[in-house]
Amino acid sequence: MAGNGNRTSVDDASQQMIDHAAACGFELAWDRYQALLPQCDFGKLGICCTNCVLGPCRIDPFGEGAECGVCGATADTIAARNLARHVACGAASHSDHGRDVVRTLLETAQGKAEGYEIKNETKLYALAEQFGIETDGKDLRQVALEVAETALADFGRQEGVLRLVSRAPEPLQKKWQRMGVTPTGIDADVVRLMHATHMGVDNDPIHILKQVIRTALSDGWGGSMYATDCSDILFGGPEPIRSRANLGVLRPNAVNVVVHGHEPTLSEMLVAAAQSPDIRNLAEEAGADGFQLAGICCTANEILMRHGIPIAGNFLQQELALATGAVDAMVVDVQCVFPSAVKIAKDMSTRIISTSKKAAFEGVEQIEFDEEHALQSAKKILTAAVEAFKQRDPAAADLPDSSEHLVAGYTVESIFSTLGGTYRPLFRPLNRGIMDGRLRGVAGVVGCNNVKITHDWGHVEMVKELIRNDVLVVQTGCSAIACAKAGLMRPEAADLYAGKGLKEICDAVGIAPVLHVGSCVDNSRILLACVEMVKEGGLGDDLSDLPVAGAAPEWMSEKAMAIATYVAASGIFTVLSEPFPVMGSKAVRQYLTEGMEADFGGMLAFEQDPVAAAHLMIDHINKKREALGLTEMMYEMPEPARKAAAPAK
Amino acid sequence: MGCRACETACARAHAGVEDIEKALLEGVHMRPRVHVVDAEGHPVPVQCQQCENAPCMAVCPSDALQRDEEGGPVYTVPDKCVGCKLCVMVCPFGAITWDEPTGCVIKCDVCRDLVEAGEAPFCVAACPTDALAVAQPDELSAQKRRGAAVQTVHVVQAAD
Ligand code: SF4
Ligand code: SF4
Repeated sequence: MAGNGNRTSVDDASQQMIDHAAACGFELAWDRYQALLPQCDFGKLGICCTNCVLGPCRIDPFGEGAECGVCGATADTIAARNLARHVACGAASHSDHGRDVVRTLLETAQGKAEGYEIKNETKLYALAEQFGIETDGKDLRQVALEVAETALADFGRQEGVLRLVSRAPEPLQKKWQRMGVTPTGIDADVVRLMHATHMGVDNDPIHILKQVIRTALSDGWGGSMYATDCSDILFGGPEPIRSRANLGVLRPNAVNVVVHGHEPTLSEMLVAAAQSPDIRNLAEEAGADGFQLAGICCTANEILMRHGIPIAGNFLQQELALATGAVDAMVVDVQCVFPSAVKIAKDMSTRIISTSKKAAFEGVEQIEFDEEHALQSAKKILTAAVEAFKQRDPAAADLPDSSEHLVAGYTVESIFSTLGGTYRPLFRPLNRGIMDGRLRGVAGVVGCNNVKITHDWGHVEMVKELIRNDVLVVQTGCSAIACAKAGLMRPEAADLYAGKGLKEICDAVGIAPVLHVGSCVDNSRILLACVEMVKEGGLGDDLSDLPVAGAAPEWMSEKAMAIATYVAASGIFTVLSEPFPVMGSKAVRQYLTEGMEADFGGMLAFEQDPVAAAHLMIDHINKKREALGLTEMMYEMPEPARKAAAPAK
Repeated sequence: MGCRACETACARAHAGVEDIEKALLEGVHMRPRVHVVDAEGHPVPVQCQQCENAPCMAVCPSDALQRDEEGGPVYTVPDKCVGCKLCVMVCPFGAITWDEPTGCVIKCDVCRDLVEAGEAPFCVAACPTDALAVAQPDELSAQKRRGAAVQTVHVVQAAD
């Protein structure tokens, strides 16, 4: 395990619960990982093909056995095809989530979605304008209807170009055209990529990778971007907001409801339902001090950004939250929900409630959530939570009391709203800071947790090293949660950890050195923030000119593979901890880590050590600064620490 | 099972590599000393049997194959190998492989450092179904005798 320390997590609350789980005999992801060792090297290297039953075909990675599958597919073809299937699934996951938000917008416009309303008219009209929808003389609902229908059409588009592609800078759009990777339609691009991977279809690894890139782009500039835009329209555009994060946000005497998963449509309604008098009475009658809603994974980020609902934890804390014994209901929908949750909850009063039509768990109660009766579904869920609260054995509960302050809610629209004024000119202080050499650049640090690296260690070490070197960090997903828990999203973090130049900017603007910009689909916000930086001027004509970089220091999911691919294909250098499972193919790994740069301006790198990875990013940012002819950094770079210290017990 | 976990564990171990993905990214040379071979539909791991009267040692003109004690593991001394490949020819099991990039032969040495330290070789540790084990001939015979005797008793009892 990378990190090499004797800790499983660098987060004290998590480590406490890991030890508690061991004492109680609860099996956690880390235990299952140990039981699975050694993991299959062929799988890791991406050179096992099961795409037809002539196989499984495994290519010999040492160059002495089989060089190709029964059909003749080489390691290069097989690794590229395997990557294609992963990216297709990752893109499908974001985009199906996006589709549901767009459909909720449509049903709201039709007056069919109970309890929802359009909260952000400005963003609705902006999107209408971009779509060329005439708004004069039309009421809000009509405009929303047309916007939703137009957006939905992009999911089913069969030809032409995805609408939101026009948001990218011209030079980037040209690169995509030249490489033949401009996204067409969100669903069609996934289907075409799957087709390419059937036995005996696309065999040229580089050609397969281009199809992979097209589908990834239709996620980043399509499915994910629609998810963000339409969530903002429906649920409101986030504004900077204070909250807390970590298991300590759960309260011993409250009805604790943890929402875990990804889609915001239900959790928004739970927030509303928890405030309704009838439901609050129920909790009081049961002797509870109200409800405590808290989130895990990206659902957490969605309701944190808009309502300041605290965060219980990130991906690898889902079992730890249950192990506290103090969770009354864990309400799950889709993506990143461990099937094992059922097993831990079985011995407790905790109820796992599955709410999505798309997902079911054996032995778990299903309260299917439908947009038409959203408020009713939400009340039903909270009622079940109150019932569970009555059964809870307070003596068996062990709740860590630690949680950390944070500020979240930064978006392209709100990122510098603290300065006052309208939003476009407000990218000026950012660009100026970079041009003056106060700020080195900007890094997006995102992604999951992974049992192969000490929990939270990768995120926290990398981000500390970046801000120490005057790189402003923007974060999404479970990475954001890790750094929030570590206190990096408090304004005081600038004094504690930031380099001198970054600290000056933070003090002037009143922000923390690490900004929470949302959930995983909100990586689209990072793309658009980069677009605004280009528009603001002074930092080149394309995203690939900007002194920026991306990273996912503890990634594990197929969604992360889609994200890394679209970010790199949008011109941004991106470092991943675990390698993509393609290392068995020289052609594929060379294209991803080198070849892509010539074609798109961005490429991938793989480095497990978070500090070494941070320095790959810093070196890249310096290279871009030099190419732009920017002045020297205002303050000396601190002594480089190129390797991370192992976390101590 | 045919998973070839022993092969990849072996190749990694002899290259001193923990992380196979990183090693390939860096172009590290890796090759296994054990091979899973298909025997009419059954996967069988084949490796050096550490013959008491090792033909490879006998035939080697440059003393590149050695063992420290009688019955101990036969290992290669790469500097001494002249590349004649006679050992490859005489090994009855095909357990010796010519390794072009290093210019000498490679073979299983039962991870002798590990075994001396009382641990299992990498291939044994990696096998998910415990199909591989290190056994000394005396123990193995004793174990087999016991097994056969028990089996016989069972058969006799069943017949009663
Ligand atoms: S598609 Fe080719 S490589 Fe894959 S399993 Fe079938 S025959 Fe083997
Ligand atoms: S190949 Fe090397 S080890 Fe084998 S017999 Fe020749 S010299 Fe000896």
